[in-house]
Amino acid sequence: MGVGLLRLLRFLCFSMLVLFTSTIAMAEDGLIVVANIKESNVSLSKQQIRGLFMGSSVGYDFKVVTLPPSSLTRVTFNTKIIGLTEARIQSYWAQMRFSGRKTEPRVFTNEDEIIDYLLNTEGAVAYLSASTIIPKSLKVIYRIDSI
Amino acid sequence: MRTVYLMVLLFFMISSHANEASKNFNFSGFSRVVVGTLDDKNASFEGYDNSISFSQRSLLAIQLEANISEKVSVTTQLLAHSSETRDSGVEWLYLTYRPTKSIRFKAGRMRTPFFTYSDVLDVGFAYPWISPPQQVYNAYLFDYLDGVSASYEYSAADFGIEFEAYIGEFDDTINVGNTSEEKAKATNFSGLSILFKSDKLQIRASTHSGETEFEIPELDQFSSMLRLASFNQTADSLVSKGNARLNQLGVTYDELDYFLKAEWIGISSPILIVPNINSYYLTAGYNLFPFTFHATYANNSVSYEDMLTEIPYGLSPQVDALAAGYSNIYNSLDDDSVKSLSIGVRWDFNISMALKAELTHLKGKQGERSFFNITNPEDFDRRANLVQVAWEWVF
Repeated sequence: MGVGLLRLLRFLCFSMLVLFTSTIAMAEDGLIVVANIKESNVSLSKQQIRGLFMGSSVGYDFKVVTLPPSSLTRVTFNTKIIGLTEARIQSYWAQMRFSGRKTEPRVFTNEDEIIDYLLNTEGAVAYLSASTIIPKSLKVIYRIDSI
Repeated sequence: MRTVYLMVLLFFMISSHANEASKNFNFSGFSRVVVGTLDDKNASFEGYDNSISFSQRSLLAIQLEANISEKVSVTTQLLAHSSETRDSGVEWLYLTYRPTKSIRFKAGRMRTPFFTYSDVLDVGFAYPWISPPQQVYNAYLFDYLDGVSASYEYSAADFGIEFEAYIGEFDDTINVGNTSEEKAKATNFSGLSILFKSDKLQIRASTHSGETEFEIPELDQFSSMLRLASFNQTADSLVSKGNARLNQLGVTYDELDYFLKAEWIGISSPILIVPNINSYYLTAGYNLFPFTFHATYANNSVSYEDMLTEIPYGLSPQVDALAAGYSNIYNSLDDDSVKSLSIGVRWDFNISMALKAELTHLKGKQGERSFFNITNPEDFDRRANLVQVAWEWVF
C-alpha cells in the first residue's frame, strides 16, 4: 500500500514538474537543430523541422534522433516547434508504428550521447538546447533564440 | 487462450535475444484492459450489459517486423482478444517494399484503411476515446483484406500530402454491430485515400468500392421463388450482392491546448441487408498535460430502399404467402440509428501508458435495433448509459 502510494505520488510529482517547468523552460532557453552534413549553408524552416521530427522526408537523407520525454529541452521543442503535448506525440507515433507507416526517431538519454552519435553518424540530426557547446564539424540548420 | 500462451512465449524468446535480434527484428506491441458496464438491464450494447465486464474490448497484440533487406521487410501482428466476437490469431501479415523514403508497397493481409483510425482501431493508445464512435467505426464492414497497396508521400515546406491506393479481397464472417454475424465476400475491392497535413490541420478524404456479396441462402431461395412466380422486380430487389461504395471525410485540428476532430462517412449499397448509411461524429478536446478531456457527439442515419408493391394481396393464398414473406423480410431489417454523447478523460501517467474513463449516453430510435442487443423489447426505451475505464499500453 505504501509503495503504491509513493509511486502514485511520484507520477503526480512528475506531471506537476513537467507542467511547472515547461513554462520556465520556455522562458529561458532557445533551441538549435544540429546535423552532421557536409554542406555549410543549409537552413530549414520551422515547418520543415517540424515535418522532419514527425517522420516526413525533407529532401536530405537525415537520420533523426531525439532527447527523452523527461528532458526539458524536449518539452520546449514540443511546445515551440511541434505544437503538441508529449501525450499527443506519443499517440501519433503509436498510430504510425502500428499502421506500419513510420517509426519514431531513436531516443538517447542525454545531450552528450546525442553529440557522440551526431559526430559518428553521417546525416544524423537532433535538436539541443541553444546553450549547448557543439563541435565545429556539426552544422546548425535551425535556431530559435531564448524568449 | 492458446494464442495468448504462444504470444507470451514469443515475447520471452524475443526479449531474451533482444541484442542480436535488434538489428533485423523490431518487436513491439500493444495492450488494452477495458472494463465497462451498461446501466440498463433490458439490453446490451457492444457486448456490455448490466454486469461489469472486462472481456469486450481487452486485448493483447504483438507486432514483429523483420528486415529482409534495406528496402524490404515483413510485418506480422498477432492479436489475442477477450471478446467472443473477435477471432484471436494472425491479424495481419504483409511484405513491405520501400524503394525510396516516399514510396511504399505492401502485399499480404492488411487492415482495410477505410476511416482515419481504421488501421489502428485496436491500438487504444493512439486515440483519445475508449471506443471510437461506433456510428462510424462499426458500420457493417470487413476490417482486413488480402491484397496490395501503394502509397506515396509528397513533402513541401509547409504541408505534406499522402496518397494511398489498394485493391484486394475478403472472404470471412462480418460481425454486424456485435449482434449478428454474416458470411461475406468482397472481390476486387479497391480504394483511394488522400491525406493532407499541415501544421495544425489534417484532412483525409477517401473513396472505396467493390463487388460485395453476403451469403444468405434463405434470401436467395425466396428470391428464386418470387422469380418463378414472375415477380421479377421484387426478386431483383432481394439482392445479396452488388457494388457497395463508401466515401469518407475526416478532419483534425490540433492546437497545443485543444483539438477538434470530425469525421463523416457515407455508405451506399444495393445489397438488401446493408442499408445506406450516413454517419458522423464531432469531438472537441482540451489538453492539460498529462490529462486530455474530450466530448463527442455522434449520429447516424440508416435507410433502406423502399418496399415494393409488385405483389398484390388477395389474389390467392399462395401469392398472399409470398407477399407476407416479402413483408416479413422487410420488417426484420435492422435499423442501427443511434445518437450518442460521450465525455471522457485520458491520463498519460507514463510515456507508454494511459488511463482513460468514459461515459457514453446512447439514444436509439424507438422500436429499432439501434446497435443494441435487446433482451426485453417491451421495457427497453432505447436509452442507456455506458461507462468504461481502460488502461492502454504500448511497448
